[in-house]
Formats: sequence, C-alpha cells, structure tokens
Amino acid sequence: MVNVVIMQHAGPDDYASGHAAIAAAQALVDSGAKVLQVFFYGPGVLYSSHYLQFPSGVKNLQQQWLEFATTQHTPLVVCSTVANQYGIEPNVPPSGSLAAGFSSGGLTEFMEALSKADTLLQFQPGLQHSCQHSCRQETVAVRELLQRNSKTAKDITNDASSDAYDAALLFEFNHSPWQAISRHGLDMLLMAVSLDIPCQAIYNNAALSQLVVPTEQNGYDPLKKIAMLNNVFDFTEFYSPASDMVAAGNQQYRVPLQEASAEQIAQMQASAKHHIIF
Amino acid sequence: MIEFNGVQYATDQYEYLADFDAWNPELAAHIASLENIELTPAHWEVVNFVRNFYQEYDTSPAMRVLVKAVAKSLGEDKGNSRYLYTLFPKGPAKQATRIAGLPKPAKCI
Repeated sequence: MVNVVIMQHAGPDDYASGHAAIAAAQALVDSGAKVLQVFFYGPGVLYSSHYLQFPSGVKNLQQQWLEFATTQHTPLVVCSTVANQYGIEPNVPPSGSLAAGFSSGGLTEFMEALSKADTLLQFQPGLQHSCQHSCRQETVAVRELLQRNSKTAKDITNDASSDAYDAALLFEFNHSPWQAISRHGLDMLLMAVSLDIPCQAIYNNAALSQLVVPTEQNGYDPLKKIAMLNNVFDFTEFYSPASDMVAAGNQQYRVPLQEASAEQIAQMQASAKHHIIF
Repeated sequence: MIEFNGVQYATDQYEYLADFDAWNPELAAHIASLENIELTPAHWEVVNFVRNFYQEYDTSPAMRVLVKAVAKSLGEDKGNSRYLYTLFPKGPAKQATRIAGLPKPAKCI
C-alpha cells in the first residue's frame, strides 16, 4: 500500500488549493492508498479554527476534511506554534478555538509521518505557479502516484519498512527573507536537520537573498537563525543554481553555499525521497 | 509580571521576561529562586550560554537545539540531557531560558 502525507499550506480562502487537496486525498484512498496525516502549516492552520466559516455557495472544506478524517482514520495535525500566530488557541471551546477533530501538534509529528510516507503532496497558495498551473501540477502528481501505485506497490512497501529517519528531504526555497513562508520553510528545515534527517536545500532566485549577510541598514533580520544550520548542526548542503548566483553578482553569504548546475539540481530532485517547496 | 527589589518587570503569559534587555544577574538569581534553583557557576555557564545564543540567532533554544549547541561550545560532557537536567530538573530549555531572560522556546523547534 502506498502511504501518503498531505501538507496544506494554503489558507482556507484559497479555494482552488483547498479543493485540489481534498480531491487528491479522495482520489488516493479510492485507489487504495493510505493518507497517514494531513498537516496544516502556514496560513493553512486556519482550517482548524472553530470559528471558520465558508460563504454560502462555497463547499465547506473544513467539514470535508473532518469527514475524510473520520472515515479514513487520518489525523488532521495543526502546527500549534503557527496556529497561535493566527489566533488559534489549541483547545476546543470554551477554553480555546480549535475545531473538534483537529489535533494540535507540530513539526515533530509531521516529520515522523513523513518518515513513514512514500509520497508528500503539498498544497501551496499560488507559489511560483499561477493557480491553474499548480492545480494542474497536483493532478499530474496524483495521476503519476496512482500509476506508480499499481505498478510497484510491493517495492514501495519494502522501501517504507526501513529505518524511521532515513528519508532524504530536498527543500526548495523561492521567496525573499521578508515573507513568512520563508521562515516556515526554515523552521521545517531546522527541525529536519536537528532530527538528523539527511537534507539538501536549494535556494532559487529571490530566495538567494535569504543567505546574503545582512547589512546594518536592513535592520530587522527575520532569518537570523539560519546560521544555526551550519554553526550548531554542521549542515553544509546549501545549493543555488549557477545562473542565479551569477545574476546575484558578488555577494557575501552567511552559510557555505555551493553552486549547482541544472543537471545537478535535476538529479537532486529525482533522487530525494520527498521534495518540499517553500 | 515579576516584582523584584521594588521594580516591576513585564513578562509574557508564561512568566518569561518580556524585555531581554531588562535582565540583570540579580534578577536572574531571583527568577532562579522562583524555580527553586540556586545558581552555581555551572548554572551560570548555561545561562550565559543561552543569552549569547539568543543574541546570535534571535531564537530561544528548545531542548534538542540546546543539547547540540552546548555540546558544540562547552563540550560533550555538558552537552547532554543528563547533565543539563541535573542543573535544571524541570526542563533545561524551559528553566535556563526563563532565568536568562529569554522568551519561552517554541514547542516545535
């Protein structure tokens, strides 16, 4: 059986992403796959609000996740640290504002589920694609996964039975340090590295500025902790496409950044067990 | 709110100091006494360590990070949970950061 983890990173008012995620989850279980966990991260934590409402005429995606969770015995895990930032107190009312059926957790639970999963499906707001594009992409991903399921379910099951944290995670960052998504991604990378999970991190385009040594006039540095990766955990797997590094000019980076060719990046993408995009 | 020597220090809802810069060593000893800890040089080493850590990385270290970072800076004999728990029995990350005037470490990281 193929085991899948779904990460919902887009908020509940991002209907396209929300519909795509539910549809993918349903298609997977219909084909005999198991959804081990749905993890709500970033603005996606708002799915767990007791006070969430959908306008009439729009499908209640929260209700759909709750029904899915009940029938499939799939935990709906919400990152409690991010949820706090979105005003969700991780208890059901009256003491909190968490909707019954969601469980307050964090990156540790997510990493644990990921270690048992064959595939991660990630649903983001727009990200670098237009919405239509990303929805189509997810559909393709599900279709490929289903095909893989029918062909090699046995091999995949064998793979999954190996050690807990042997998953190699490839993180890809696309945004400037000023966007919350960059911090969410960094927190996840830090968690993975602190759990000794072999990781690689690719910084594309605007994300390269996350690694540039900040100057005094930049003032607040939202990603100061990025230096922990190398200084505390000896993590050195920072990569950037050669073309982006040339475009960025002569910069001083705060981590040991390596230049990677398009072929090398394609190879990393193909060989990583899970590919996570922020 | 922590009151000490006639001064009121603002705190967060978990009684962690709100302002990193309002901290001083006497206040640290007072917060430690609220935690039933008498500060020895061994405690001070960790308290000073987490203060420097916070200044460098702008983050309050949770347990896994604390162990790793202490091991790296102060050696393996101190960077392990057994040693740190003997100093801070109710949770080294929780207690050391509070005494050092740091925010409460995030649950996740």
